[in-house]
Amino acid sequence: MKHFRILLFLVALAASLAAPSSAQIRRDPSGVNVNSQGATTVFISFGGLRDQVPVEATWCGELVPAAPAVGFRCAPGTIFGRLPIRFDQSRTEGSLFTDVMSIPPSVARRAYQAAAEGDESTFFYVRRFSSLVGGPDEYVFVTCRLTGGGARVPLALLDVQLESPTRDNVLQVSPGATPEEISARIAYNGTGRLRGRWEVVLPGEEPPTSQDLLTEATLPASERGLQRRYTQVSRFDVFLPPTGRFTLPGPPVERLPTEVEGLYQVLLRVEASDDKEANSNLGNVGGTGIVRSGAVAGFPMPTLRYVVGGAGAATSYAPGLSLLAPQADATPGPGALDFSWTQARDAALYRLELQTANGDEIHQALLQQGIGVYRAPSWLAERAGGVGLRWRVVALDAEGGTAGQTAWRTLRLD
Amino acid sequence: MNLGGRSMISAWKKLATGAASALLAAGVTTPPTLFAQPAQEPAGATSDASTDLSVVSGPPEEWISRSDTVRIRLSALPSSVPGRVAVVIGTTDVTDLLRIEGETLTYRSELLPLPTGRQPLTVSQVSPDGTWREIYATELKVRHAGGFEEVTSETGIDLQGLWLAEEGGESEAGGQDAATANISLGGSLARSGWRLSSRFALVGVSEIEQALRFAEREERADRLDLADYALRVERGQGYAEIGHVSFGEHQQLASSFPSRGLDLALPLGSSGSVRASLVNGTSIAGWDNFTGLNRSEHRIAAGSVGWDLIPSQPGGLRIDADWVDASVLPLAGFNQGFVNDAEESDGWGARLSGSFAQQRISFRAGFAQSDFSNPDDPLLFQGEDVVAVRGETRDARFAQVDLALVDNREIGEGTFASVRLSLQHERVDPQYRSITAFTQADLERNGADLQASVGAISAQVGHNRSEDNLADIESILKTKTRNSSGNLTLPLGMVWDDKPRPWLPSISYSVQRTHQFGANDPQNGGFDPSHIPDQKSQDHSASLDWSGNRWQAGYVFAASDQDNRQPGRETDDFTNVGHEARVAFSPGTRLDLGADYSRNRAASLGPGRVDRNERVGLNTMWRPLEQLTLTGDLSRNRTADEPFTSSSETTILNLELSFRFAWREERAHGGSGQWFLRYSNQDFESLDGFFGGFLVRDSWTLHTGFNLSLR
Repeated sequence: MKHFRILLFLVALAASLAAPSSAQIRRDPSGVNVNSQGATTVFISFGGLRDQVPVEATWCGELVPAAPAVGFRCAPGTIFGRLPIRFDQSRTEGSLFTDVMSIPPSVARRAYQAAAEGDESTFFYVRRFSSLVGGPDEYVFVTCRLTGGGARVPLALLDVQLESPTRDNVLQVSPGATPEEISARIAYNGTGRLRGRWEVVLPGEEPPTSQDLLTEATLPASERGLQRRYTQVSRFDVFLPPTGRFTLPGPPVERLPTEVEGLYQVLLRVEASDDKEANSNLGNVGGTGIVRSGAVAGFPMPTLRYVVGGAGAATSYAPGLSLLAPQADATPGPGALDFSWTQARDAALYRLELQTANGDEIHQALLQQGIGVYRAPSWLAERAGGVGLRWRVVALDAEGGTAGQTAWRTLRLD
Repeated sequence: MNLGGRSMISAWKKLATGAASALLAAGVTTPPTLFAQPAQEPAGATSDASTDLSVVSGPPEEWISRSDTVRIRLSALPSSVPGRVAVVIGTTDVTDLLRIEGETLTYRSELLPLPTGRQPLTVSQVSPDGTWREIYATELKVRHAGGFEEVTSETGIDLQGLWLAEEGGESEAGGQDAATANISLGGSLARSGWRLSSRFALVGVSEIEQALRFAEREERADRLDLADYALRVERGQGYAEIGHVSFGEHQQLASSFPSRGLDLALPLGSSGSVRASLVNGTSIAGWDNFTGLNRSEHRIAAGSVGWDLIPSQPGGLRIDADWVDASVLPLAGFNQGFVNDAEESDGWGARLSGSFAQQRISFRAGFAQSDFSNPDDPLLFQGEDVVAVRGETRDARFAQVDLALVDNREIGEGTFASVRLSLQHERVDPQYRSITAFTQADLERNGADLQASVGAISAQVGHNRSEDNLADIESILKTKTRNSSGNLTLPLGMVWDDKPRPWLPSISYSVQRTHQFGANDPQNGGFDPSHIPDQKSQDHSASLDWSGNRWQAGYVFAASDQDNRQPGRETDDFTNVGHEARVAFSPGTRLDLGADYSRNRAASLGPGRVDRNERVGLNTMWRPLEQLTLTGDLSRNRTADEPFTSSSETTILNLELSFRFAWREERAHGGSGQWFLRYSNQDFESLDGFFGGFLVRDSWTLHTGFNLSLR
């Protein structure tokens, strides 16, 4: 039985390679190394379609002649599954059909279990093409070889999770503040360069479509320039070793826009990189050129939203209340630092507030009406840490409510 | 100092309240005393031991009400020592609200009730030269109205209306009118050891394409949707929570798995704890599965129990047992995309951790066993008679030992050195899978790391070896991986501690070398020699960072190469070199300027192709008035290859002008608003000699809008 299967496979291989006249549709790559313990995604080009449309795609352990159809189809009883519609990123353009084969882990598990029982470890991905003019169906297969998923396997992203330390679904950011750090936790096959851009969708911009969110390598070459682009925050270009797991640091969060309130979306835009294992040579399928397909993925990249909103700076002033010293943008030298202000009518108390430029509270002082001056603690410069500060005075009424406040004034303690 | 201010303050001083006068008279130097009477403090006074104050008694340790009296008794009359006394509650200096009666300071809550919650209270002695010295610290616990020890409310609504005022260019800009709402509801109550807290975050949009779950539900997505929520009741170490939770501390069984559901934790005596979770199979948003438990076939149950075996030394020796029963459908998490399946796993695990010799030796180890299978999946089967997956029960284990060879030893004045050695082992059986862990199956890895630090300088070297195909199945490729890494951090500006040297950079360098090669000749696997990897790769990264008071600068160099050695692939090698420089400058507190430049060259040596990328970015923020902000960002990105078959260039400019206003800001219910105007321009040109032809897109938009934030 085993020798028969080998013979059958060799016959099928010879037939597909040596007799293109009977199997007009060609593919590249014709065989790939895949991960035996998890998912695999591969970009495949099919060429030579003549009034034919792709139908289903099936994985199986053995092939049998498809007669009266053309080629070889899956042997009944050895089927591992069909390509789920959610992973079908295929596209047809003239006589060229671009397929993205995403092997679910359960299919690799079936193949592994068959190999562990002594069967051949190879299995097959079979695409059926149906004729629009009444011709016979045509079956075209790609051979999958079981490996550990490292070097010599096409570079592909299999699991991408955008997250922050709080792991909130939507991040909340105060106006002008810096969002928390963002990262992308990635599981992948193969090895090579992961390069691309962190972009942000601003409020009012048309959100990206699922096609915009696919990695560039997932698209046919002719569609790659059509993806919509957004405000670029930063680029990344990192080397992924053949070890399967990587955490990609997010964009520098201080560069993310937070001045204007609204709903923002952070996008992970992955560009195609040169990967010998992932590239598809159109010269082998009747076309011209090599389609670079490093960092293919069978799903749109996830996005991470953040909302800028919340309280703003005060501008409601109390009659008579104004700041005296230090002057705006002052840089007082070493020694005592005194804050002073004029008095407001109807105020019972004053609260002097000192914050960093980001709004982090440094120090406050409560003072009674009629005083109007405060000497800062000696440790203020040390606690401020050399960052820019802002200060203001809030007048409080007899119940402790706000009777008014000054605008913020800035200073720097070096 | 502003003399006009001094004169005005002198006049107002005469109007100061009796309490302030009393404080002045008593010598508890309040701020006006500091300002107007620094010379009155005894000249030449010092704060030697004979003039030191101390606190004899402080505020009560139990919870008190906002109007209760807080008294602090000093060891001597404040007026008997030079300088003054300062009292700070939280971050607020309340000295001016104190009454002095002999050695006793009394907070006058009739002027302003005490701040609620747990607040640090410190007493400092301020010397005549203005130096603060803390002499007492405690925690003040003040109940809210109704007897609550904590009452917080974090409710707010942000509304935004946005109009596309104008658009133009040669292609469709894609801007739109839109309205969004961000609603956050939350707060907490605490009393008698119980604490109840809640948090809800909702996002509303006018355009369905912007809905939180548009990618999942398309037109059926809710325009006002629930992003996150959590309701939590806790007492001491125990709690119950529903909503957005995460669980799991076993790296091979369940590791910080985030989802929506129920979480319960209880202490077991003084040294144990038990925890149980029941959650959705993936992280979710939205209303329709509010508890996260609607679908039994997409649900995870987990539990853990642990004890500190040496109760007097928490963490000294601890044992934990974990259990997970999970079933998931092929659904992705909210911020996730992946190639998934219908899966079921049922597993248990145990962990042991501890430390000895004053934590110079520490270890952690764990074992897990998981029973995994794939149930029938109609989306995969599509009516076919598919080979069934056999359920597998497989094991995983890990161990790590850390040894402090040199433990923070002083080797010079104020200079300390440490050397730590870490040894790791991990093995995960073929076919092992636990749905709630991010593991790689069929892998055994052993490694060692050596970390050393001398003062601010630190270095690390490591090496690990791994292999797959642990069952040695003949027809499957077996690979072995050798990985070596090192890094060095040298903050030159901190090496000398006599004074800051901002012109000296912080230097860091890291290197990683990996060799992965086939370790067998698979039979009946369809392999030829070129399919079996033999690849060496290395990755270098070096950076220089400078940081001054008003400026920052940095440079990063990165290089990598991939050297394939297997037959038929000897020339299929890649090299990559990148440079990045950035600078940021703040000439004043109202102006920030920044620029960055990066350049990258990637060469594919086989076909002789070279890809180049270049980016320039400029950004600025100018705040001419406190309420008025102008920001600008310009980025230009160019890519091209040799032999010039394709190139692209993208230029993006954003200019934003915003004006912010607020009302009743200090009240419990106030608000703020913002008006803004944004101009965006995007130019994109792409030339692809093989596939795409010549593509030009040029568009601009002018948006204006307003925001209201209510709370």
